[in-house]
Amino acid sequence: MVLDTGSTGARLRERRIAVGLKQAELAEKVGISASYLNLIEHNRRRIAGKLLINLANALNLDPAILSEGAQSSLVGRLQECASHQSPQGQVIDRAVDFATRFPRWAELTISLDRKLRQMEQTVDVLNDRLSHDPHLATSLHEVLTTVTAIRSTSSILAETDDIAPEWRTRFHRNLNEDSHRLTEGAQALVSYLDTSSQDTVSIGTPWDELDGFWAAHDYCFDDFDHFSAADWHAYITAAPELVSAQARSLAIDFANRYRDDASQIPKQNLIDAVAVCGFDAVQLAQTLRSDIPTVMRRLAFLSQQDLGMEIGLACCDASGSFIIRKPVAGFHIPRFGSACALWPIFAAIGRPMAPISMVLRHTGREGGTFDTISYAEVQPAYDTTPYPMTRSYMLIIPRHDSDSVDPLRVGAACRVCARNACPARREGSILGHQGL
Amino acid sequence: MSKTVLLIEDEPNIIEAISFILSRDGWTVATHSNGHDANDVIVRRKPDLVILDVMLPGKSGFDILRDLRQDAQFQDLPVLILTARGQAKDRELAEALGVSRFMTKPFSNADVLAAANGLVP
Repeated sequence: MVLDTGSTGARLRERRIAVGLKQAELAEKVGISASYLNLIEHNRRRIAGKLLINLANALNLDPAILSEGAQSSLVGRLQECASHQSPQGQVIDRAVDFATRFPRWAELTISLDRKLRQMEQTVDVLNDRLSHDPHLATSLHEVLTTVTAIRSTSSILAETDDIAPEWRTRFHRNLNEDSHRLTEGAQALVSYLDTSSQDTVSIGTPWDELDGFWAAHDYCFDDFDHFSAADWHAYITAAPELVSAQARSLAIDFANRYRDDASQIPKQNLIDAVAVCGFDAVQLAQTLRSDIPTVMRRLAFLSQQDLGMEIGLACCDASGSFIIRKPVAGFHIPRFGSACALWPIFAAIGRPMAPISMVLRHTGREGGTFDTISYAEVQPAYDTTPYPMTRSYMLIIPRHDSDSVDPLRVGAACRVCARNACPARREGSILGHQGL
Repeated sequence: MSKTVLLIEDEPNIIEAISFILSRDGWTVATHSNGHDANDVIVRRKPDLVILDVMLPGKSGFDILRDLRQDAQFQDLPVLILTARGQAKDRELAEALGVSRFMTKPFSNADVLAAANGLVP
């Protein structure tokens, strides 16, 4: 979670967290209430004079740092970098000296930290794919198998002087078949692995294409609220992100669901209800006389501008495979492989129709604290299924005040999670924490 | 009496190539292309050597090997695994299940021949 380091309140908050003080403790030190301090930290109250000096003294900070402009911003960003690498207070204290004496080196350090975080995100995505992408694994296996047949057959032809004519003919035919097969397999693999320069997640499977379609629209389709089915069909057919027939079919399913949801909960009704209830999906469902999954989907596909903040949504089926992955900064949802078993979206599958509210702290490098609400709906059984199907949703809302709660620490997936001694860990982490 | 080998592999062109090189070396080669009843075939044929792929329809080579080693009469039967799954964890699993030799694809014909003759001199 990236804090605004340009304001007095944000700098105050950063410094307080860096020295390990709770809001209540600092407030008591300077003789104000914790709730007033919270208002100050979130820039809802301005401070100056004696209170500013008292707060600076309590935090062992030069008061000028709290109110200065660009240099304070630099210090704040540097402190954030330092907190990722070394949580000790002494290192963070020296950030002030470092930024004051060597501002350009401080900027370089911040830039390198940002690049490192981007690279780690890329590693997350690539590792997810290499370890768990069934399509990639199958394609590679196909290529290796075909290469094996070609190698073995060509060796026979090259090294066997007295090979019978019928065998020679047979092996030539096999080589011809396998070379065609290898060409197709290699082309498919290259196409699958071909990534754009903007996005580390390539368009490959139909679900990837649908993700790309959603991302291209910033997960916002309220301009389409009045689209008819025919309008949607024409739009999807022409969408450059949807290359395969399967992806277009998935998009049509999405469009049909979206039309139903928009009909049930008009955009303005939802915005008005959010102004009263916030993002409590249970209350919103009651207010709007709808169901929780519909509310969650409507929230997820409304613009950040209309909502006033970014909201994430994950939806999975009973196997844990994700059907909707709307990301939010600081909370990575893997496409391939298994996500963190501690996520309440999975617990909800075992308790359908019972909402689970939980505050999560994501352990990733960009991780932050999030309010989540998870809910699993049971879909009616059809003639072809022996029992009802379950679909689980998790709404993910960034939380800016983590002091008053004790969040559950979760990761994205075991292989890229730094949490030690996790009871749910399935495999070791490439980050070096093996606590199985 | 020639040595007998059962080749359990589902890729037809790989079957032909391996069968050819082993036959020329004097082996009697039988083949089977699915994993589902592979253990039954091993019991029936009682080969001197089994060459086993891992990714098979019906039942994986690892499961076939596991079930084989649980039968007392086949605990010492030489088994050569040939697989495209060449990661360390696959080798470790194969060794834990009692494989005699683990080779990854693609392989050289000479190496397969040497491995077979090494396991059944």
